[in-house]
Amino acid sequence: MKIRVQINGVPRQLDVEPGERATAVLRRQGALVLRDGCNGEGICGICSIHYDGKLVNSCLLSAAQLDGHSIVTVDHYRRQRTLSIVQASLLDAGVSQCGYCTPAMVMAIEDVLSRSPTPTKAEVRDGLSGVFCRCTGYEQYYTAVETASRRLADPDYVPPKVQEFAQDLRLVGKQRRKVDGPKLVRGDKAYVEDMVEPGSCILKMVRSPHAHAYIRQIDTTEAEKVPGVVYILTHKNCPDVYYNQAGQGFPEPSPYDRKLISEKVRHVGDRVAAIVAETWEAAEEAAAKLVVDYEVLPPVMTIEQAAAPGAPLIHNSHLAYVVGAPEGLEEDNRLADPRDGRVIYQFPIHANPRKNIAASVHGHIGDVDQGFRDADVVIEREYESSQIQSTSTETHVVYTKMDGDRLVIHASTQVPFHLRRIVAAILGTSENNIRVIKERVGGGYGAKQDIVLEEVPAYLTWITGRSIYQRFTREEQFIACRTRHVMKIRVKLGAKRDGTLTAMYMDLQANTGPYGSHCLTVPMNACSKSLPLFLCDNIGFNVTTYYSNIAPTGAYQGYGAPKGSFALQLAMAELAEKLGVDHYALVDKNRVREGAMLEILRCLGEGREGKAERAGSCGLGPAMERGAEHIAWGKREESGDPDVKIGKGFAIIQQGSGLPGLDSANAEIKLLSDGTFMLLSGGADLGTGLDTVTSKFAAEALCCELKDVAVISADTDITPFDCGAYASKGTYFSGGAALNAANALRERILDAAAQMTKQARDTLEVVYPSKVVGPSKTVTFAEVAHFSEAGDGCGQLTAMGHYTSDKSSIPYGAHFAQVAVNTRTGKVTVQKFFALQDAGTPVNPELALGQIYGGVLKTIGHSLWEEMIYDDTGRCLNPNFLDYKVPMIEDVPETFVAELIDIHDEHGPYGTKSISEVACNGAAPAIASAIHDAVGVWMRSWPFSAEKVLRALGSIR
Amino acid sequence: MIQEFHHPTSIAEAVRLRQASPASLYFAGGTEINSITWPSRPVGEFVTAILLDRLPLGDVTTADGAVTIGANVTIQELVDRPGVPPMLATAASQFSSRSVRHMGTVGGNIASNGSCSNLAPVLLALDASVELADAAGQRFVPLVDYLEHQDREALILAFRIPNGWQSRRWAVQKHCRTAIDVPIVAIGLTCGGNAQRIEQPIIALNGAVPHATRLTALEQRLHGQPLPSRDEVDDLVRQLVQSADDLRGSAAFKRHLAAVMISDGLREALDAKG
Repeated sequence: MKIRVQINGVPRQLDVEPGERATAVLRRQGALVLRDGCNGEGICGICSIHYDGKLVNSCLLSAAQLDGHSIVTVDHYRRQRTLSIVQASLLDAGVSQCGYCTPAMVMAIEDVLSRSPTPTKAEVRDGLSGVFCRCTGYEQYYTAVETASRRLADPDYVPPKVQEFAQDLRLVGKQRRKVDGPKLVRGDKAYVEDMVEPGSCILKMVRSPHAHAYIRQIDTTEAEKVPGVVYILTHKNCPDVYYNQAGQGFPEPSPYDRKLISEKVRHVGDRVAAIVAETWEAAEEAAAKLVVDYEVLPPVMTIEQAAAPGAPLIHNSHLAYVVGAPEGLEEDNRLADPRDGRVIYQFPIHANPRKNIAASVHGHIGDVDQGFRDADVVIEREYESSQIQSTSTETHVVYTKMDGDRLVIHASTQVPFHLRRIVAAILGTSENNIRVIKERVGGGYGAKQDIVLEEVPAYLTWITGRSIYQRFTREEQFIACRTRHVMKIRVKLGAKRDGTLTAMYMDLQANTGPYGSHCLTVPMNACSKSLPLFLCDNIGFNVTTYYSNIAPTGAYQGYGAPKGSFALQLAMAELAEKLGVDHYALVDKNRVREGAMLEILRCLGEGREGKAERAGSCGLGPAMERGAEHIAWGKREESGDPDVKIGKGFAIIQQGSGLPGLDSANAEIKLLSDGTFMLLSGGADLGTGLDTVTSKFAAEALCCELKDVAVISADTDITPFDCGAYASKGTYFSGGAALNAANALRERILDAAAQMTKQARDTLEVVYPSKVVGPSKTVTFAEVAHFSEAGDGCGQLTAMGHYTSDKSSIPYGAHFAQVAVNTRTGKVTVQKFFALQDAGTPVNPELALGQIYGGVLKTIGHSLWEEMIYDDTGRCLNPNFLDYKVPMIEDVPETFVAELIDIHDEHGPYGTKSISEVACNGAAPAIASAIHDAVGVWMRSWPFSAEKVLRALGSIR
Repeated sequence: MIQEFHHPTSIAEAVRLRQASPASLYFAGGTEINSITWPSRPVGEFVTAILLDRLPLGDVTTADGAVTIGANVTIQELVDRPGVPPMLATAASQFSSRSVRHMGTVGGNIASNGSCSNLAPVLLALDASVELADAAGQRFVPLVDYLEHQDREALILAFRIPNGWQSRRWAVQKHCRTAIDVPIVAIGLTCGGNAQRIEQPIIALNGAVPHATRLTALEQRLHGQPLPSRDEVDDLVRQLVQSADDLRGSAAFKRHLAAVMISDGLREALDAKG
């Protein structure tokens, strides 16, 4: 049908399919910024437009509804490259992280300000209620709107800055706009989907309807006849290469327990056939004509079912070890079923697939049993947590194409170099035949460390030569992507009457689901990022991870630590009650302090032997004091409603700054002819501001302006190797590499300047702005560049930087929550939340605060609402945003404050530590202990839903 | 996918189009219909959509104390427009998000007749009737009857709230997991009198039941009586509400919520909390 529609003031007449979405129509008209995060449910709002002046979701509009109406997209606010007031204000507030939702937020804020030029907080909250942002925790949007509102009245208005750090430095610790911010707030092409060329094929993955089954037969004959179908991959024609999708450094501690497509399906949504077709319609038709005969097996969904004697085996496979094969392996392999394929271990992780055990580990320091005998009080409690998904607004997505005889992968990944290695192995080719370009990532949060889709289109492009685009639906994001491991953690604590801990023990059982991605390290991290928070001579832990048929698990921001933290911190609150002492006082008495020897780290290496380490910089003390002051710890609050009880709780938290001894990063920097710099960083910026970190480090070291450093990152053809963005390593490792590169280049600049000016090398100094000063002569970087590039020069000045570390540089924090519990409805409302964190020197303080807000709000969501729910057959019942509830701006605590503790770390580059993951570790135990403070019940299973609270209170049975 | 859209400009034309095609449906804001068709799930057998946005159904009018609300009035307009009873405006403001409120219409919300509407129990509590149009002409039917015996052939034109709502006490409550969730339980209730003697209460419920419904047995039990104790009301409601387990909660949880929300809503309406 033909429609007439005005788009950004320009009348147009368009031919549209009547029932198609307005989003699709407008994207065809160039509005690429209209993205899809919820497959048209109308929940996420990242496709927002103004429709006759009102903010609406374009995914909820049919093309026909555009007829006769006026549409405004974010392009309306484009004034060449100049940012609008709202766009600039978003950047100044530091609230654009991954940027995938940012243009929609621009539209929502413009809508708010058009109705109310000086909006109240309630008006902002209401106006932004329809746009989902997983990164930021929403709090800084209020600042952005206020800044925009004031600038509309006074264009010269300068907003107050956030607290800045490192007074001796020009850029590090100072508020600056994110270097990739302008293109994100403008809605420029930036993401994988923006790179897809016309004529590309799509990949549709046919997925298993069964949680556990063998594929007896699969017939593709009729499907292959569908016009437009290019290729169909099944277990019968896929390479016999086993690998792991975890995206970890080689050799991985995760088992190689899968092929591209296996003969056995192990979860609802597992791969059955990959259809490459020229159109989505052809792929759908082919999928319908695929004939699959399954031998359905009983599903194994829980840890108890997996551990039960005689349980169905998920991987009754042939086992092999690259090193460290156990005795009796050959005999053991006689039990294997060939249809289950193989499992290859790079080294022993104490697995036993014949008992569904994917990995296990245990360790201790001191004499744990004696420690408990010495205790006056011993408690033992069990804590459970649900399966949650990271729900990035951009689902997993990839675009693969050939460039001559080389494969190019446009990826939304955290690990471009691991991706290249794994794909090369599957293709049976060398790494120099593959280029991975990490585009802007629309939310990673750990789940894009795992390689969950890229390798299939990569292989199919390699063999067909066709360009292929694959993008997960929101449902696939839940059932076929990565989720946090389900865990049951039994904590036993012993203490003297005065509160001194005598022994601690954690027995952790984890459910890794169908494959062993991170099956050792995520559960282990639950111990290694919680136990070292307390000083105790006798500590033990035992970790067992089971295979099952739930949706796959893997990495997710916090990496097991949120669940370990929940268990141990809440157990400390329970111990305080048992001892009759104040929770805060008990924690303060036993907490780690700077200089303490962390013996337990000896037992907590990631698949290798660990090393005891002395605790470095530690901001726990001031974090606890500031938090207690904010929340008025110890003061009883009344709601004024007898049915609503108020309670307070808190938790202390820690994480790491990368993996000492395992991780490495590299960077290269070049001096350009005009004295500016090109930085090539291997680090993968997920929206966290890593490109800004590396640029700042380089500019700081080279005494130049931030704008004088341009950064290209995470392109395997251009930038040097970097492990990737995981384990909170970006600032520490990738930043450290950039700093080392810049420092090395500074030396080369001095060398060249000495030669050029004929002054003694040791009398020269690099001085801001961009010059070398000597006793008799000063030269600019541009002059040094011209000198070195000349026919008789020394060549372009470049330098490499490499970074490794054997130091942990642990970030610490304390989170405090005040909740209101309605004893009639069970509803828990987080009224106040204070997050005090020690990140060493925060490089980008406003972005660091945003990371804290975002991490906390994710965990509030996990604590109160989020969980994947299954039926008895293993089908997930809520793989969408209508039924799986993520927090929106209206769910944010009324008082939500993040603060950075001013601590300098002696090891981190410019005194930095990590910031991103640790923020996820405090909300669950803080809220749970606040609920207990309010109504006297211990919520030992998250989410703390209203129904669970009522059951705990005995209101329903 | 819907294959064709019609844009009638009169009610008679809309009704004719609907009669002419059994595989047609009325299409208002589209938030419900569009959200279930993505990416390739067809809307049942429907291939023809009759868009209502050019029909004269967008007014809110008052006459002799009665309020008539056109079916095309959006949920946001229920919040913003003068003349809408505060009880209904309150319920509309609890409907998240603003983006959806801008598109969704009151007519579409009621016509979908699902458990997710928090407007339906409020309109029931306001004793609303619904004006319908079909081949037989136009007529008013009580909303309670429309919801119970929905005629999907009929086009909703308007809702009429009779005079008298101004003096009735009221309460609106909605319980959901997050702000943008559909309600696990939503209630609307109105009554005359006071805590010593309740007059003609109307108590309506949704969320825990398949579609909005009145608890007439409870209304009869309360009429002319002093407000019973909370426990007594709780028990009465628990006996009346039949619910089912789903991913939002167990039947027992929903029955409990319905009970306490109605019981507390009565206290709120009668200013007898505590």
